[in-house]
Amino acid sequence: MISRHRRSRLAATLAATTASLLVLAGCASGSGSSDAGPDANAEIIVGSQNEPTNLDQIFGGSSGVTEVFTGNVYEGLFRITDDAEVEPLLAKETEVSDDGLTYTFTLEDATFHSGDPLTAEAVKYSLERFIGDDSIAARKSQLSVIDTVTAVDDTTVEVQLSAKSISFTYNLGYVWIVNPEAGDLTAAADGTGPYALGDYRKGDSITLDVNEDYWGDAPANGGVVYQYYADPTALNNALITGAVDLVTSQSNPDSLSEFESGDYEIIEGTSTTKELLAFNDRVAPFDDVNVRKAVYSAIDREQLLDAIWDGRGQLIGSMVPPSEPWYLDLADNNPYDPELAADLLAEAGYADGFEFTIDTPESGVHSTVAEFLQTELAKIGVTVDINIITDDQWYEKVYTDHDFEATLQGHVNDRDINFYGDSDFYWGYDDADVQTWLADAEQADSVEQQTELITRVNQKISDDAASVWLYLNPQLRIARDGITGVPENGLNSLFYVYGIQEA
Amino acid sequence: MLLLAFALAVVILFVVLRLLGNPVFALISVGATEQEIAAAAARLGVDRPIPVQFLDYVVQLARLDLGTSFTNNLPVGDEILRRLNVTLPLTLLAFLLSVVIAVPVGFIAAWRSRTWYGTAFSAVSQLGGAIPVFWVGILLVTALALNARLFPAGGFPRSDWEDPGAAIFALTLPVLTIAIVSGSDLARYVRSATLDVLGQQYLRAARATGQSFAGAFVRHGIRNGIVPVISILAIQLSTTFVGAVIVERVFALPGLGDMLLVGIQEQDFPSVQGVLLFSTTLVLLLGFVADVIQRLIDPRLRASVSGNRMARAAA
Amino acid sequence: MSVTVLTEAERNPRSRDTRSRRPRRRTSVNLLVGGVLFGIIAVVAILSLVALPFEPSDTTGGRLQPPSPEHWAGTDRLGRDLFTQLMIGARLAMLTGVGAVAIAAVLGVLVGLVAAMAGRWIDDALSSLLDIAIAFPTLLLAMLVVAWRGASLESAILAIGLAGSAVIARLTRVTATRVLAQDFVTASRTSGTGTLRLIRLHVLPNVWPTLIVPLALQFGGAVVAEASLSYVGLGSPPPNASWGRMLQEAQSTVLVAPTAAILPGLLLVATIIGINLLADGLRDVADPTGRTLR
Repeated sequence: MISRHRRSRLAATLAATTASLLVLAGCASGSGSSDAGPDANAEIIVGSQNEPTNLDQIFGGSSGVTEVFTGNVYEGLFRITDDAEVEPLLAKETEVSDDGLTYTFTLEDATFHSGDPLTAEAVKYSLERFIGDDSIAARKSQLSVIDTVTAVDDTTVEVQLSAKSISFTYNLGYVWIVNPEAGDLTAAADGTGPYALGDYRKGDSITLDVNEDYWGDAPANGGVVYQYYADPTALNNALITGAVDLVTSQSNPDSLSEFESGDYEIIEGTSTTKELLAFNDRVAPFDDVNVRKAVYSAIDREQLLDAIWDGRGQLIGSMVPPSEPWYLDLADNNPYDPELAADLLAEAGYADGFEFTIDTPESGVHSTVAEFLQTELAKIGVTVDINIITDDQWYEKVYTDHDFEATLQGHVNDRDINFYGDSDFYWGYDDADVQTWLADAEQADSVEQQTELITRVNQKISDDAASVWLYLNPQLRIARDGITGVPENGLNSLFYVYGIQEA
Repeated sequence: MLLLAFALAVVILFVVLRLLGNPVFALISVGATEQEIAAAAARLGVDRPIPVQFLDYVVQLARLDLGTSFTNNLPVGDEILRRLNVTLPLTLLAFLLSVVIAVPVGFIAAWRSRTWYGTAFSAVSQLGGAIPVFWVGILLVTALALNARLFPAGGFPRSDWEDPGAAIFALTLPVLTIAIVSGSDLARYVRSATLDVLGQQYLRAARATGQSFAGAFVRHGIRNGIVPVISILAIQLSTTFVGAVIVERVFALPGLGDMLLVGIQEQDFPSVQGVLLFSTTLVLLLGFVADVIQRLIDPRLRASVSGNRMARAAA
Repeated sequence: MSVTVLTEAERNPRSRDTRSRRPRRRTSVNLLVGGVLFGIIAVVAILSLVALPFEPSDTTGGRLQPPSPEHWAGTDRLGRDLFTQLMIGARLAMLTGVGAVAIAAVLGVLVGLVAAMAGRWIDDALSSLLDIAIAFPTLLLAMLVVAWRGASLESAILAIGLAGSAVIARLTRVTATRVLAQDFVTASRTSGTGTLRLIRLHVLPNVWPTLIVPLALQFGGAVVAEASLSYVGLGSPPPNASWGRMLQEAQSTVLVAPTAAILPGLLLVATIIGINLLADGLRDVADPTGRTLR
């Protein structure tokens, strides 16, 4: 503990000294630890813009809470690796009944940070909490197939499903096992992970202390601090001046050139965040496939991606990024072709174009994208009105009330193609085949069968231009030289910090 | 009067905030169902009729309780106190520095208004007052933090004031940013007040009786000239406090301004209400104190009927 | 921030300050420099209505280009011409100033008159309402307005105008109360002059001169306030971006494309100094004795 405190003060002082002093100090600490290899006691300071609203995943903690807690402070029965594989975590052994409806888990011998042992009761409590009435967790509906949870004995849990669910264990990877004794978790934490919650300073930072009694392998560092910045420039400045060791997500490609020297490493992984122009498929003219395809083909997405991400990131042609098993290269399925677009419009009876409004959330890049679309669509005679709304208004007007013509949104979740199987979803895509395939896929006996079915869905929604999938965001992380073990990919904001170390 | 103003502030804030939107939409994410949204509203208590919510709030306030945050259930009062660790020193230091800058600059600009440096001082104060505060911040960060690496570009020590040196160090640039802008503003008032005093008959009369200029100025000038300056100081102090919102954003400081901006973004009504009520009360109190001091100094104001408000409006 | 400038207006309505010592030559210098600075911006603003070097939405300029003979101020991320945006910015700055001042003047004078002419109870209530309104920071008011109406230039103008109106109302009330208490007004009242006529004949002619300078200063204050709002993301988005918004967008690329982070700021400062000097000059011209109503 003492050494960590000294380090953090050292870090603070470092940030404040001149560049030359920085170099000197760097040399000094480098030579001190070079014999012993990486410094396992080093405190890693992570800069992020994604501060959680609160600390509980079931009550609006949003993706920021995943970034800090999942896998670090809390663990699930399973873990989803950086390569999107499912592997057992707290569930040492798993048995599935022949009908695929009964799962029996044998638990690892782990303890919570408070000292209480991990029990089957705790698992039962955690699963029921996740799908309970109070929960607004992001994956709640997918896990609602859970019928009953029974604590067979202290280390054995039996889960009864109401229907077969091939992605059950995958989804369990996101469910935290929490200590039932801990009570309200919106500003506290008690999990089984390699780190315990240290300090929570809303608007500033979250400190994770190493859990000395961790049941698994000890982390490669001596603790992690998430330092939050509301402003991207402030975050950049923090990295430049050494106030943080790495940033989890760089949203501004233009400042990358500042980090292209040898003092930093730019880590480009794939994210699962898709920028969508989502139509309201229920209303005219977007209930017409040809209109949707015309709009799609009128947009030069290559230029858009270049403007927003300076060529990084990737063009996609459907809801599926390459990291998912049912990926197909559909980027050219609706090619950029203004003439084709004009023909399609004429075919649909809108030869003279039409006018529509894009409800644009004020956050992030959406307004820039909207302006670009305005210019592009004007070329085929379509007039775009931009209506800037707040994120909350988006949830009210677009998401809940379906009161919109088209909107822009960045969809961050992995494996979220299933939203196209729900005709009540905000974009209102309604296709009987897609709904059947997705339902069957979830009930599939094998991953191959599941993959085959969802691949079909993938092709179909792309052919129908159910939405315009503009591009896939890159996942750009930047680390100071000497920091290694940073996870590459941004799978649904997961960010395991236990492997990060300072040389 | 102060109480009436406070009561009005409570009502207005409460009503206006409730009209803005539903805080539930700040908590949910894509995939949430209608039942989940309803359950969340019930948990926050925002599904009840507004008069009921208001009564609840008033009862709570009467117990000096600002309630708990909608998002993380922490007491708003405690959170405000924690944030004051940053905002209060920031405001006070910036205010002190701006006074230290403004008084000599303003005085010399007036006293030596016909010399080149007097004119230069006037011009500088015009310039400083015309720059948006965030731009000053950006320029200072670029020059002194990113290029010269003399100061941190932003942030505040996680240990708060455990290490006062580090805390002061972190506040240096933000304090400088505010002081440049509000010091320039203040200098213009000081200059104006000094010119005013210098041109008055009583000063000439005093000098005619054989007092030195300095003696006359100190004895009669300051006493007269300071009356309008005091209310300006109060206003400046309030302005500095409020202006900290933007400066905190530029320098990523976890102060009250950040709490407010994030609170608005997350529709966390109790937090927004708490911060606004706190800052409004503070500003009103400052005005009140300024009035009292003014009346102590200038006996003429004591006689005025509705002294408090008239004095301030006329000052 | 803005509040400073707004309240300065009320502090200094009379400004006996300079007359006795400052030579008149300086006065005309203020007027001249202010007039020229402000005039240039105003001309650019009007020009932007007639002709622009590029279409504001023309994205063919290439990404973040430095200034060149073709693009005098370079281009932004989407390849749009920055000089064009700066010209539009001038127009928006003028619009912000004029709009906010108009709202502040109309609303402020109305409320001030009502407070001055109504009974004591209404006067007291209105006055404490004004106290809160003045204590309530412009920025926060603007956030509430934005949350209510959405982020746009109109929201910002409305909010800034509303905030400014409280100061104007208080000033109007003070002046109007004094006028109404004067003997000739009481005489005119007893002889049966109607309220509206009274206001038109006696009150307004005395109120306006005291408001000219504060309103001119509010113009500058409004432009700064809008820039600050834009900085926290509450202004109008490009291609019709205000200078404040342009600064905010350019801030993240300050090391790569510094022109975009400097030019809008310089123009902002020029505009505000221009209007402030103009206000100083106007004060001396409109009120040469410095003794209006005092």
